Amino acid sequence: MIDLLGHLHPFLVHFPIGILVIACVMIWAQSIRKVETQSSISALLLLGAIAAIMASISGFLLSNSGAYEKGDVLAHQWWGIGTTLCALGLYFFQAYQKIISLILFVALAITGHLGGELTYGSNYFFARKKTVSQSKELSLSTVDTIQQKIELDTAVEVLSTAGNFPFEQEVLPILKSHCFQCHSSKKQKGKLRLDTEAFIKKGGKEGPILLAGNPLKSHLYRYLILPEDDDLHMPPEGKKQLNERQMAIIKRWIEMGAPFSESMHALSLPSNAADSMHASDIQSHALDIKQPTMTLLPLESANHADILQAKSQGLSISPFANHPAGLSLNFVNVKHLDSKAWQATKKIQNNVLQIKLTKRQDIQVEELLNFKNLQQINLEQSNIQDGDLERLGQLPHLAQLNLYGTRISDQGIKAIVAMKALKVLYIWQSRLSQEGLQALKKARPDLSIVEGKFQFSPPDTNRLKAIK
Amino acid sequence: MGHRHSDPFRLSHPDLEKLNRGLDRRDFLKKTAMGFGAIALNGLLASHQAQGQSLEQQILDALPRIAPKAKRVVYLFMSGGPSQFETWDYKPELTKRMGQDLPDSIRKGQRLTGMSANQAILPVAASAYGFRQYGQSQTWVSDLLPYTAQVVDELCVIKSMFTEQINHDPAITFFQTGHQLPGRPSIGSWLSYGLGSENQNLPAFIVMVSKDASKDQPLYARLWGNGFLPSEHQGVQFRSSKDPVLFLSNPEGYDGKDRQEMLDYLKQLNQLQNESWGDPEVDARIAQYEMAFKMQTSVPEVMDVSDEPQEVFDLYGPNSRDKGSFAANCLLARKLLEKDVRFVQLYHQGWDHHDSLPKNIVNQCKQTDQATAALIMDLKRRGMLEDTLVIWGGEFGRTVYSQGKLSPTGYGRDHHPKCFSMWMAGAGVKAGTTFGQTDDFSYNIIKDPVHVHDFQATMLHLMGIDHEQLVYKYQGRRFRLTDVHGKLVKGILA
Ligand code: HEC
Repeated sequence: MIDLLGHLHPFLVHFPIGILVIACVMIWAQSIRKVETQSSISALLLLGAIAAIMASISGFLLSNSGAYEKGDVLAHQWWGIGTTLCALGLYFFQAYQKIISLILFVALAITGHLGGELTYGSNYFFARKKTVSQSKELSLSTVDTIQQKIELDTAVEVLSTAGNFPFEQEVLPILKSHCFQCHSSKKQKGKLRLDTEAFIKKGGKEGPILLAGNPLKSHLYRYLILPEDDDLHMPPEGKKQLNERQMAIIKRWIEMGAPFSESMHALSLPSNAADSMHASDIQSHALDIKQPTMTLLPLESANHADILQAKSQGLSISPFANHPAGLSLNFVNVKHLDSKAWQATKKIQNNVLQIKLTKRQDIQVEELLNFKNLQQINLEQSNIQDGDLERLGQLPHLAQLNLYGTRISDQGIKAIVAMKALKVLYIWQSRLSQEGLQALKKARPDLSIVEGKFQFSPPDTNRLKAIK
Repeated sequence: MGHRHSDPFRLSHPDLEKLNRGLDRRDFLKKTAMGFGAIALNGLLASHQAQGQSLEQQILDALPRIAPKAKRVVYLFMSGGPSQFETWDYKPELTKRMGQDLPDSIRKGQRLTGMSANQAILPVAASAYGFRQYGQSQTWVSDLLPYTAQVVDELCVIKSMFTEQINHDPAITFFQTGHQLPGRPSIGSWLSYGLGSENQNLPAFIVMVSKDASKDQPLYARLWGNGFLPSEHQGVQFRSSKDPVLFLSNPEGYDGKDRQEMLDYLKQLNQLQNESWGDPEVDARIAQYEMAFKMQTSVPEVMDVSDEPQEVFDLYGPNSRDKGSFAANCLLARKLLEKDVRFVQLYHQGWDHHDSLPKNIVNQCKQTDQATAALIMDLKRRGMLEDTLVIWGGEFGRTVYSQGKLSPTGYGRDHHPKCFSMWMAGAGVKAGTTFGQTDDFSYNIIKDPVHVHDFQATMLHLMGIDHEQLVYKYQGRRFRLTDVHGKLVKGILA
């Protein structure tokens, strides 16, 4: 109970300050404008004095609760008592009203300031905002040793492979127990909230805190491994710290690309053993496709304004399913694929991982080469030709290519074989010959080729009769 | 006022004059009394106009980003409540119990419809048709679905769906809008509202109803209605008649240029109206007129199947040349999806088999089986199945006991909400799997129940939307498709 009263102090102090300041102002106003408000002033002063007494008592109890060093509190305590006495004096001695009110005002300010120093730390008033650059001096070697320690101390399998939702299952609980007290709906230290995906992606006052794929460049991780006495170390010195396993989880999660929904299995499994097993299972089925196991590029989210800008030019842009910072670009609404249309994509080119150009007859392949991170291109039923494929081969991450219904023929096979990253190829209704296809399969056994040859076997009509 | 000819509109209709004069005092009070909503909205509109950004886009931008596995959905709604016993939920034990009364330990006092509640005995009826296992996944499929059986490795069959509704209209309304009473927006409208339309020349939400099905239970346009959402989000029904979309084509003797000019003026008038009143429905109107005009060219193009090769018609089956049949609609659905239409919904009625089920269900399956399977394979070979979600299912299941007299080949089944089967295929779902389990009578769920709201939440998730975030404020409260319910069904996500 006594504790509770003490804890009310930060709340109670606002009353005497507010009420007494109003009383002071009214006293001064009265002397200038000669209006009669003395009865109100007296009432306010009485109320203010009582509030000041309550604040003093609760403050005294708080100082005794052990949360503060006795010495630190002393000045604030005596100024507080002085202020209370001053308020009482003002109530009883109307004659010296003007002078006492001035003294009271100054006393209130000083007491308040001293109290502020106790809660927010000394110098809070003139402190400049710290920037990351001050911590940049942190020598890389320190970071390295901390990192090494983390790697040594933790088992390789940090994230359970069964968990498809690493954020929800692993990361969020850590943030909840160690960070929410300062970074959630309760408080937003550093203008940062960590309690929902949207806030985490938004970042804090220094901007984004996540760079998918790169923990060391993500403040969310980097601040955890700063030396504990660094001002920017998180959680701040003296608070409950993360253990190594927890740090490793966050690191690994960012390395995985910081996925908020399901993660891709390929990343959480130690090897792609499961994948190859699957592949041998399905070889017999003509239309089966191995899901491409793409490696996550370290990629910063595109600037929101740039995306909007591109959209306003009629481009259709949506998030890419397989990379948190990736974008998928569709040209359905673009009438003419001229340089203006391509120009509209300039600022987001690096984030575009999929482009859809279905049925277009006006594609210039050189333009596609500007999207150097492209993983998936839909060129079905377009004007793409054998000669273009070689140039597409220059895209280092191209993992999926849809060429159905195009004029691609056996001449293009060499270029396709050379596409190192390619995993899935749609080739139905192209001009590839049977022999060409066999050659391609032989040269690239790892490639899932969707030939689209599919026919139903006619049903056994006898079985359509009800069984007796 | 004749001297202000330079103004774009000087017409003498009293309403317009009022508009021109600006608002009088009473109007002002009315408008402000309507709340700051209008003012806020004006601000909102102004800001998104400034950025050239649609309202949907702003909504989407504000939503947390879940990577959308699915870019489009095609939902094959089997209206009437297909029996799980003759399709997906194989119950071999039932043959031994044929004709026995349904044990009370299974029924547990479950309410029945008035159609069978007064029966002296509830005789167990086993499926009149056999089942076999198919594909790598060895999924049990009824002999009535020989084509779907051939694509079963693409499907995720959910055997543990359940709903709270026992009669058709509330049950369908519940499935389509998340609430059993009419008036809320349909799933497709929510998606249109949340994601906008990818192809600006076609609506985001298109509906087709099979004409070859027996119309045992009615369908209402409100099932694809926008509810309280702005009206441009309602589903647009495409018909098989000469005019696929009613009232879309120009009146005779009226050419496209005139139409264009008329619409341009109308738009200006509407905008003028909008500036003074800030009513969102004006925006909706403008959007709809524009869409209708674009559809005058885009719809005939997409409805034209004349350039489809014979091989495609063979794939979709003998009915696929018959305009308006389920098979023809499946083919059109594929064409619409190719054009990046976000949500295509097909309705096929006639699954409400209270009597003569063995006879009637054969026909239902014949009408739908091949085209359904064809749609999946057609999407797959075009590379579209990986980002298209295909859904098959009705509004509830059917009872294990026969409604009316039981004979080995003649029985009926009553409505059963406590368990039924659906399937999903394509983008983001675990292909070649079965989810959930029912008891030996397919009466109760014994593993992994999936409520209608869970299904809706999962579908939105696959489209990249958190069902708890997609809300619309109406009559002082926030509404969502899943009301205050809905859990993501993680078990079916790939
Ligand atoms: C006791 C309160 C407290 C706790 C607990 C805490 N922080 Fe902080 N955090 C702060 C303060 C104060 C700042 C502002 C530091 C500055 O800018 O000087 C901050 C800033 C940050 C920033 C930089 C934001 C920006 O852009 O400026 C990050 C990142 C951060 N915290 C991460 C974390 C993480 C992760 C945890 C949990 C592991 C955590 N914090 C726990 C108080 C806290």
